[in-house]
This record gives sequence, C-alpha cells and structure tokens, in this order.
Amino acid sequence: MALGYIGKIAKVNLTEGKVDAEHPKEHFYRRYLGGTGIGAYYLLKEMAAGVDPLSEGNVLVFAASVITGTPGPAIPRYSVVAKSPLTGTIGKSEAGGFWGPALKRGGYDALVITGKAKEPSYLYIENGRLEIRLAKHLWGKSTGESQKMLRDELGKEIRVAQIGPGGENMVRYANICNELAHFNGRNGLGAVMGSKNLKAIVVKGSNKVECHDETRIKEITKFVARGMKDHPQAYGLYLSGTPAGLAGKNAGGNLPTENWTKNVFEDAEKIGGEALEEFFIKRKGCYSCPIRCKRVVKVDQGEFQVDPIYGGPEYETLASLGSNLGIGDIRTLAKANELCNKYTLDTISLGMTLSFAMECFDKGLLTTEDTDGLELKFGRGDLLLELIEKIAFKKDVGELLSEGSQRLAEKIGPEAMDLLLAVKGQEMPMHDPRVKNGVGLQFALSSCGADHWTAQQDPLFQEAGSLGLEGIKSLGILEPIGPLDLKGPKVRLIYYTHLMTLMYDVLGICVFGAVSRSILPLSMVLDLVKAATGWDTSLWELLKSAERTSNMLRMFNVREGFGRKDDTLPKRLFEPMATGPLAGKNAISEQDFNEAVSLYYQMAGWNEEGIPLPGKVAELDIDWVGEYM
Amino acid sequence: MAKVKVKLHFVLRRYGQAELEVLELPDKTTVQQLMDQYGFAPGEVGVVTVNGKLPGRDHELEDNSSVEFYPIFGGG
Repeated sequence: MALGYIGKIAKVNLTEGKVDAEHPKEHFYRRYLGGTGIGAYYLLKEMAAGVDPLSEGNVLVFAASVITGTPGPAIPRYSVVAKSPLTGTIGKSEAGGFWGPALKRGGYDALVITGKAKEPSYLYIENGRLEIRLAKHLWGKSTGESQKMLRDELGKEIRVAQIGPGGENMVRYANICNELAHFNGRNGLGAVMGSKNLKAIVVKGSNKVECHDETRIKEITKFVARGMKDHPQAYGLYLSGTPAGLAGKNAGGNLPTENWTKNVFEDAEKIGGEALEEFFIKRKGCYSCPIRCKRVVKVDQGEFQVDPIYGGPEYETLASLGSNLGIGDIRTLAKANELCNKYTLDTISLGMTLSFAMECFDKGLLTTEDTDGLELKFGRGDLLLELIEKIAFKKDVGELLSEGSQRLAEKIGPEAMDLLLAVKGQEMPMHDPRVKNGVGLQFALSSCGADHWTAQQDPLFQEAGSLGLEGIKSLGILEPIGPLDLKGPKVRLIYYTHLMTLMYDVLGICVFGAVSRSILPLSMVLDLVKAATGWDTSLWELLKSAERTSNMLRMFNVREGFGRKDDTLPKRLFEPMATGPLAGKNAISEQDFNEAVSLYYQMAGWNEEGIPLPGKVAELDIDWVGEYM
Repeated sequence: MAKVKVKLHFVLRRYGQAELEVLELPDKTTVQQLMDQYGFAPGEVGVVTVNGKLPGRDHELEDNSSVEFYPIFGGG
C-alpha cells in the first residue's frame, strides 16, 4: 500500500476530451518526490522541443509531493510546470494555500494536462474521479466571481485553482491563483491555462492521506507551533509578514526604486509594513501551517475600496508596484494588489514591465505615439490602476505591455536593452544583487529566469552563530560568508542551498517554514519524509533528488537552445548604486561574476557551456533524458 | 557620556522598552557594544543605520546620534 503518496497521476487530453490515469511504481516517487521533479519528468518525456508555449503542444503539470496533505507543518505547496510563455525556458512556480493538499485528498498526486479544449472548460476532481466540464459561464469573470459561482454550484468545501482575465487573455506574466490569495506567481503559467481554454481546476477531497507514522508528523507540527514565537525569523513572519522587509531595504540603500535608477525611495515609510497596518484586519495562513504570515487588508473609506477576500500585498508587490514605480500611496498599492489578484497578473513582472516602459518613456525611447497618448511617468497611482485594467484585457497600450519587458525592449531596439532588468526574459524580483552577490548568481543561473527562491539569500549566512548558518551546518557549511563575496565558499553556499531549496520545492515545503529562512530544521524535513512514506531515506537521497530535478530543468533548457550566454545579469548590476547611502559603490565585478559562474558549473558537473556532463547525468540516473534531447 | 536615540523596527521591538528610546551611553561606545547591550540573537539584525548612514559595527557613537535597527530580511 502506498504511504504518503496516492500512486495515481491523471492524464488529461483536452483536445480529445479524454481522461486517463497512470499508476507509477514506488521507485518513481522515490526518485522524483513531487512538484517540479514530477513536472520536469513529464515535460521532458511528452513535449517536443521548440513548441510554442501558448499552443496546444505545451504540457501543463500540477504536482503535489509525497508529503503533501499530511498534517505536517508548512507543507502547503504544489508546483505548476510548463514551458514558460514569458521566458521560453521550462517554467515552474510554487503556490501555498490549500489546493495542493486538496488534490492529494481528492485522490491524485499530479495532473498532466495536454491539448486545448474546444470551449472554455474546467476540471472537476472529487475523490479519485476527474471530469472535464464546461466553463463558458465562468469565462471573463474575475477570480472572486468565479470562485463564488463555483462554490454556489459545488459546495463550500471545494478548492479552486484558476485564472482570471489576465490568464484568459494570455498576458505573458499571468499567474494562477488558489483561494484568491495564493499564487503560482511567476513564469506566466496562467497564460498557459488560458491558451488551453482551461479556466479552473476544482478539487473536492475528503480522503485521508495515509502515512507510515502520523504521530511523528504531528509531533513536528507541534514543535513548529510551540517554538515559532521563540524563533526570531519565524516570529517576524508571523508578527509582520514580508511587508516588514521594505523599511530595512530602504534604510540599507537597496530598495529598487524607479526601475532601479535609484536605490532609496523618499516615500518608503508610506508604503512599508507600518503603513499597511492601518488597513490590516487579520492574519491568514496555509494548510497546516502555524506561522500564518499572510496579512489581510481592507480599505472601506476614501477614493476606492479594497476587498479583503483578495488578501493583502506582500513585500514584492509593495516594492515592485510602489517604490519601483515611484508610487508612495499605500491605498493605491492595496487596490493594485487586489486588481492583480482578481485578474491573475504577477505583480513582480507587471511592476518591472511598467517601470521599464516608464524609464524608456523618460528617455524618449517610447513616446505618446506608442502609448495611445498616455504619459508613462513614474509616481502616478491613477495610471497604475488604469494600466492594470488595460493589460489584463489587452486594451490599447495594454497589449504592448502584456508581452513583458524583454519583448518590449526587443521591439524598441538596442538602446532599450541597457535599461532592461530581466534574466532569460523574466523580470527581476525586488532584491538587489549588489548588496548580496549570491542572489545575482541565483538570478543568472535559475532555469526559469530571475527568481529569488532558487537558493537562499546571502545575509542569512554572514554572522557566526546566526540561525541561518546554524540551520545549514548539516550540509557542511560551517563558516560565515560575507554578502559581497563571489569566491569558492559563496558559490558552494549558493549551490548547496539551491539543492536544499529545490528539495523544498519538490516536497512542497514552504521556504517560510524551514531553514534558513524559518524554523523547521533539516533533520525534521527528513523525518517528515520518513514518517509519511515509511522509507528508510536520508538527506543525501533527498538532496540527490533535488539535484536530479535541477539537471532535468537544465536539460530541458539545453534542448530549447539555452546555454551560458543566457546565464548572465543585466548591465545595471555591473554599475554602482546611484543614490542613497551606497551611492557610487557596490558594482558587481563582471570578472568575479563570470568566474563564479564557471566555478558553479564545475561544482554542478556541467561543462563550460552549462550542459550537464555525461557522468553527472549517469550519476543522477537520468540517462533516459538523452533519448528526448 | 553620549545621548543616543535608538529606534527598533518590527520584530526587534521586543528587545526594548519602547519603539523609540533615548539612552545615555559611555563615550566611544560602538555599534556592536550597543547591540550586545540589547542582546539581539546572532544574525537577527539585518541593517543598522547611524544618522541615516551605514557605518561598520566598530563605529563609535557620538553624542546626539540616531541609531536604527532593522531585522534581517533574507528573501520575501
């Protein structure tokens, strides 16, 4: 009997309206564990190279893990994997919430979706049964409206992963939303759903996920619940959530401001964690997680209202739509966040596409002739709200901006490329690598474009005795490493924590639940897998599974023509900070960076072009990928 | 003695009596000594500003300095 996992993966062909299932053996689950591991497996096997990501040839995978749906702490995540319409690389994105555990309780470990439905459709899953149903009545509706209609029709206990108009209209950075406030945010995977005429996946699950040792799993949840308030980082997340990060970044001279042309924002106090408190109404969390880091806001007075069903803005949103656009009004940002959640737009790529367009406008590379008369200026909250509507529905200039910043830069010409802040076509998150060089390596080496959770971040490891460093001593990282270092110890830190973070992704563990960002130690991550599955496994085996996935992602990208030339950083990061306390300092050395990339390749077992060597492929037991290259 | 204003941000507030405190410190007290006095856990402080600047932890605090402590933020 399968323990931890269900042993069933649905195969849904939307073109033919056909539903089937595979029942992989135990070794499949032990090799790939879940999430992106399972996703990359199916993408490599079932998708041809060079497929247009918005065509019916794309393969879309939703995958939970061998521990999802158990009562363990901070394991709410599932991955969505498909070829990204934003980057052309493999696309992957994790979301918390409740949908992943519900998928397991509904009788499936993963869904592999191919083809394109003739009419708007949704999938309905209930306790091991899967149906393709018509969604004509939902198409065009906001996420809030669709969720309400589905609940009225199917009962309040359903969980809904869905797209709003942004995904339906195939905005290249549309995301996928569950429970209106949790997102597979990056890589434009919502547009892939839209291209398949797939509005939603509704799950109703009441089956228990059987475990080998449920008592041990519950003990670990109690450990997190009891210890959380004594753990500074976990407690910080509970107390103030991610918005608290904005003030420190501004004080530290590294808050992305006006397309990163500035590094401090004069109105930072008006858009940070303290400003948001005025509208805070409650905390919210995810399935079986005691940390509850989400902040729900409500605005019911003034120029406009913000509906609390859509949660509240995280740090990334406050910075990308706030300081990055020069907008210092928290109400506007709360409203913009609500609109993005209604329409399913990724706030990072949205903010960075707009800021790029605004800098181009400022420099005369775009004019009102290109923008249907709109003055694309920094600091205009009204313009932000107007542009979100235009982009989600691809109206007027919204069509141009819906393509993301890289396509816009290519359209404008070479002079715009210097202003572009994207890697492999994905816009950079709100973390400036010039104050934490390892984040620059992450951005450059990520298989899905600039991403701030490809590994852990440098500041956590700069002090002896810090919780961040203590948390990874069992990986063999024993000494503190400075944030501006790019030599061997830093590259090793990024490589090892990449494997650790990807292990969390394939297991569905939230990065805000486990070391180095939070409380759950690696020894207990291992215990969770053992207790769920009954396997006599080890941290070695789990990290090897993450390495296997990392190499599968890499090989997918090699198949699509990506290589060393794409593992780079935007020009602006090789220039010093422009304003604030670090003005004139902190340019990343291009030579140090290039040497670090080479060193990383060597550590990973890749050649100088970043292609996995045959020995590495054999060691990871993925020779089979060769047949599909 | 140096009169120093100290502001503790977010989760660090639990180390002080109030969000904003005025302390009398011996001359030449360094940022690190002030941190030791508060007893922050290792690595818990991410950014320290003195009068809006980013001096090192061996910086000696002068009279009327304004010090602000921000928690570590290792990815949001």
